[in-house]
Amino acid sequence: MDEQQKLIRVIDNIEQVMIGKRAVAELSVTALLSGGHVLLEDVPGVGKTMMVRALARSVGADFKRIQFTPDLLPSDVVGVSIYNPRDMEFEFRPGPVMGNIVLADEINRTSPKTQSALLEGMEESSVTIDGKTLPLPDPFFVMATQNPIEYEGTYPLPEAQLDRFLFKIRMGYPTREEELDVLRRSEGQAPIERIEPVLSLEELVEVRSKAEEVLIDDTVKGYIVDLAEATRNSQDIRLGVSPRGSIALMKAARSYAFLRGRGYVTPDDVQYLVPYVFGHRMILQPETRYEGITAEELIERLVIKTKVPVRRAGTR
Amino acid sequence: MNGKWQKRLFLAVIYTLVFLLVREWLIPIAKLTGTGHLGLFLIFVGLCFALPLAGTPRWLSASLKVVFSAWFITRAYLEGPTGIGAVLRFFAEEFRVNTQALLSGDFAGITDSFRTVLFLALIWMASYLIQFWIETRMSVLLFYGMTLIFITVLDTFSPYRADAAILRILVIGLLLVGLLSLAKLASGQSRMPSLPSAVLMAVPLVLIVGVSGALSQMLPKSEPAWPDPVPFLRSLADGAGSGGPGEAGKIGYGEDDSMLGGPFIGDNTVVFQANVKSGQYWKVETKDTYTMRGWVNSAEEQELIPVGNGTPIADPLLAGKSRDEDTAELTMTHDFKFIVQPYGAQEPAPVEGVQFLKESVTGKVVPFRDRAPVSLERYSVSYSEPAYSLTALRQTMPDKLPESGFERYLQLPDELPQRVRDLAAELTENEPTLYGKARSVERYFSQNGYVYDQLNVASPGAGDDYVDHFLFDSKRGYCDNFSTSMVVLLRSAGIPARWVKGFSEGEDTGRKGETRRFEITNNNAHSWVEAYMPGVGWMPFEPTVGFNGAGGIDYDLNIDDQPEEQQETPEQAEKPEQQKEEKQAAAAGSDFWKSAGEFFSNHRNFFYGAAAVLLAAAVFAWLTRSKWLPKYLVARYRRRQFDREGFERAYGRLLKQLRKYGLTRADGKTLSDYADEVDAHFGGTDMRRLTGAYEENLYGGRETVPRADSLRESWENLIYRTGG
Repeated sequence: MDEQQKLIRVIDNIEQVMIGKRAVAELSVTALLSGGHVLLEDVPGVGKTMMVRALARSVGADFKRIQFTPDLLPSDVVGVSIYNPRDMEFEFRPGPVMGNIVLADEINRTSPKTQSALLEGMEESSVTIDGKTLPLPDPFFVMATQNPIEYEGTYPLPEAQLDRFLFKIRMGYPTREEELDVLRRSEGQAPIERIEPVLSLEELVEVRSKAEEVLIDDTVKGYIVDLAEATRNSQDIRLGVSPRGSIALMKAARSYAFLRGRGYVTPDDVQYLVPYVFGHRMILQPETRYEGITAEELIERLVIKTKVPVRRAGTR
Repeated sequence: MNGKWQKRLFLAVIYTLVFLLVREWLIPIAKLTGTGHLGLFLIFVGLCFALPLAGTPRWLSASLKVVFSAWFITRAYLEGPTGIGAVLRFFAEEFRVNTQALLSGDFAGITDSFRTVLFLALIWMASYLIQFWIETRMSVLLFYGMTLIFITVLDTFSPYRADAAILRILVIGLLLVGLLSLAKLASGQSRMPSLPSAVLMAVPLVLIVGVSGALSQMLPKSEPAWPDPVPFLRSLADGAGSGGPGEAGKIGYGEDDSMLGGPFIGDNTVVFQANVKSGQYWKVETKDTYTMRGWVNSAEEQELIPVGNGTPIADPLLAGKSRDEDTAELTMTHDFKFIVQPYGAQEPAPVEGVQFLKESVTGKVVPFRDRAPVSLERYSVSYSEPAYSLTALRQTMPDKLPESGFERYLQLPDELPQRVRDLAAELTENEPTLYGKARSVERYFSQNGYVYDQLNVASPGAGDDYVDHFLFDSKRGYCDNFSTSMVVLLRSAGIPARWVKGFSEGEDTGRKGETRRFEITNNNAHSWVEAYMPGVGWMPFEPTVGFNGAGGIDYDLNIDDQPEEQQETPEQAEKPEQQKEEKQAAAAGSDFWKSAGEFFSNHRNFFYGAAAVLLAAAVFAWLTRSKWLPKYLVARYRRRQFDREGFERAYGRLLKQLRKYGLTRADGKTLSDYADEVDAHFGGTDMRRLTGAYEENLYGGRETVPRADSLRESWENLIYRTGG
C-alpha cells in the first residue's frame, strides 16, 4: 500500500466517526501534510473533538486537548517549570501543547496573551518557557475551534494571527440522513475505539517530504498569484491576501494534489482550496460586510472572473 | 430489444418521413417538366435511404443502385427487343451520342436517358447529404426549410398548386424536426431511453403536430390581406399598366384565329406521335389575311387538289437541293381532320378508301372518305427536307418579285399604325436582298428584349392593333404574337409573307434504330412565318424567341464568293491590334505602375468579375465553414505528430472549435470542469481523456504523449462533432 492510499485510509477512518464530513477530513489531512493548522469555526457539538481524535489515532499520534477559558494562563498551555525541593532544581512540566496533535477548543475564549502562546508555537514550532526555547514535537498539528455565535467575553483573534492557520473551515450541521446515521452508530461501542492506526508518525514525516516533491508548474503558480492579486484589487476587500497567503495556498495545493494521487498541481486543486486558504486572510470593506456578503462568496466571484491558465506560457 | 435495433427502428421512421419529404420535391418536378416514371424515381430514392439503413456494405449498395438505374433506363427508353445485346448496343449508342453532345458543348442535344442518369446521380448525392444531416448533425431544419421555400416558390410562380403539398410538408417536417430534437435530447443522456419510454416521448409531439395540422386544415382561412404579388411585380418590371390579363385560354390547335391574344395555360396532352429521323416542324395550313385582331382566310371557296400518286404536297423548291427522301410515321391521339406535313412533304402513303385533298390557298391536306373529311389514326408521309440555296437567296433582289399573283400575301389593314410601317422600313433599309431583309426582321425580336410568355400576356384593348400592341407596348407574348408581327412587318417592307399554323417538333422520347420518336402535345401547337423568296420559293422563318425553326440552309456558295465575306474580318481585326501594340510600346517606356494600371483598366471587367467571384467564394466558404473546417483540420493534423507540442496545439485548436460550436468556457472554469461539460453535451468521455492528458503535459511537466493514437482518435471524434 503506498502512501497516498494510506492517507485515503486515514480519511476513511475519520469519516467513520464524522459521518458525511469527508471534505473536512480531507482538508484536515491536507493541512497535516502541509504542516499547517486548521481553524474550525463552528457551533459546539458537531463532532470536532471526535474528528481530531480519530485523526490522531489513525496516525498513531499523541493527542492533547486544551479547553480555552478566560482564566487560562500561557503556562497552562506551554507548560511550567516547577521547583522540585528534593532535587533542588526546577523541573519542567510540559503543557498540553507538547503533543503531536492538539485540539485547542474555543480559542477565542481566552486572553490574547494565552492565545499568542499557542500561536507562537504554531508559527515557530517551538515555545519559550522561562527564557528557554523548547522545540515542539514533529509533526505538530493544531486544530483550533472557535464558536461564532458568542461574542460576549470573547477575544476574537486578530487578523495577523489568523494568518497562522492554513485553513479556516466551517463544518455545518449534518443532513437528516447523516444525523440518523450518527444516532445509530452512537448506540454500541463508540466508533472511535474501533479505529486502528494506519500510519506511524515516522511514516507521516516521510509522506510529508514526498508531498513536497509534488510539481507545481509556473502556469499554476501564476494562477495562484492572479487570485491573490484579485483579492488585493477588489473593491469589496479592504485588505487583500498577503504573499504568505499565496505561499500557504501553494503548499496546500501540493498536499491536496498528493492526496488525490497526482504528481502535479492543477488549477482545479487551487480552485478547490482557495476559499479555505484565503477566506480568513482578508478584511472585507465594512459596507460589504453590512450587505451580508461573506468572504467565501467574494472569493467565489473572484475565481469566476480570474482566468484559468490553459496554455503554456509563450504559446498562443 | 437492444439499443442498436432501437436506433435502427428510429432511423427507419426518420427516413420514411424524409422519403415523403423528398417525394414532395419530385412530384412538382415531374409534373412541371413532364418527366414520367415518378414511381421508379421514388423507388430509387427509397433504395438510397433503405440500403445504408439495412447495413448493406457500401460496394453492394452502390452496385445495386447502378443496376437499378440501368434497368430503369432500359425499361424507360429502350424500345423493341430487350436482349442483352440490344441493351449493350443501346447503352453504347447512348454513350456515343451524349459524349459527342457534351464535347461539342451542345447541351440541348443530350438525350432524355442521359438526363435521367444525371437526375438519378443528383438524387444519389442528395441522399448522402440528407444522411449526413440526419445522422451526424441530427438536424434537418435546413432541408425542411429548403423544401418549404421550393414548394412555395413553385406555388407562387408556376402552375403547380401546392395547397395539399404545403400541409403534408408541414406535418412531415414538424414531425421530423421534433423527433430529431427528441433524439438529440436523448443522446445527451448517458443511457438510451427504452423503447416504450422513447415511444411515449414521441406521443405528445405526434399529437400536437397532428391536431394542429388537422385544425389548420379545417379552420376557415381568410383571404390574403395582400394581393398576389406576382402580376404586380411583373407590371412594375414592364413599367406599363397594360390591361390585365383576360380569361386564360387553353393551348392547342384551334381553327379560329380571328381573335388572337390573351394568356394560355399549358396542356401536356399528347395529340400525336411521330417516328421520324429528326425533329420536324409540322405544318397544317397557312392564313393570308390579317384583320388587326387575328387571321382569316381570304378565299371563300378553295380548289381541292388531290395529292399523292405522283402529286407532291409541297411545292417543289425552285433552287437548292432537297435531302434524301424519308418517311414520317404518324400516330394521332386526337381527332384532327387534316394531316400534319413535314417540310418538303411529298405524298401520303395510300390508305384504303381515302383520298387526300389539298386546299389550294391554305395548303391544308384533308383526308376524305366518302366525300366527307375524316380523321386518320395512323398514316405516313414521305418527305425530303428542303435545303434552301444560299446562292439563290443572295440574289433575291426586290426587283425580282413577280408583278402580280402575290397581292393576298401583301395585304395589310388600312388602319395599321404608321409606326409599324416605320419600324419595318428601318429594319430592312440596310439589306439589299429580300432574304437579308427577312432575316433582319426575324432577328429583331430576340435582339430587342421581347419575352416569350404564355401566361402573362395582355390582350390588346378594343380598337388596338394586335401587332402594334405587341411590338411597342407589351413586348411579351407567345408564338402568335411573334409570327403575326413578323408577317405584318415583312408585308410592310414589301415582302410577300403568310402565317403558318402547325406544331413544333415536340419531345424526343426515344429511338429505334435511325428513327426517333417524338411526342407532340397541345403545348407544341405553334405558328410561324413563310416568306416568298423569288427564285427559291416559300421559305419558313421563325421569329419566336426560343424556337429553332424549320428548314435548313444549303451553304452552296462558290469558293470564289467566300473571300468577299471573309476579307472584311481580318481588316477590321487588324486595326485594334495595331493600336494595342502602340499602346503597349508607350507603356513600356513609362514606368511599370502605369502599365499595370493600364492593364487593370483594360481588363477592368475581368478584375471586377474575378474579385466578385473571389468575394462570393470567400463568403460562401465562411458561411459553410462549420461543414468543411473540421474535415480540413483533421486532415491537417493527421500530417502532424502528436508529440507534446503537436498535441498541445491540437488541443488548443479543439478548444477554439468547441467555442465556435457554442460550448464556451468561462474564464474561471478549469479545463477538467469544462471537459465534463463537453462530454455531457456530446456523450462519451473523449474530452475528459484528452484533457487529462493535456493537463499532465501542461501542469505536470510531462514531455511525452503516451497513447497518442487513441488520443488522436478522441480528438478527431470531437472535431467532427463540432462540425455538426
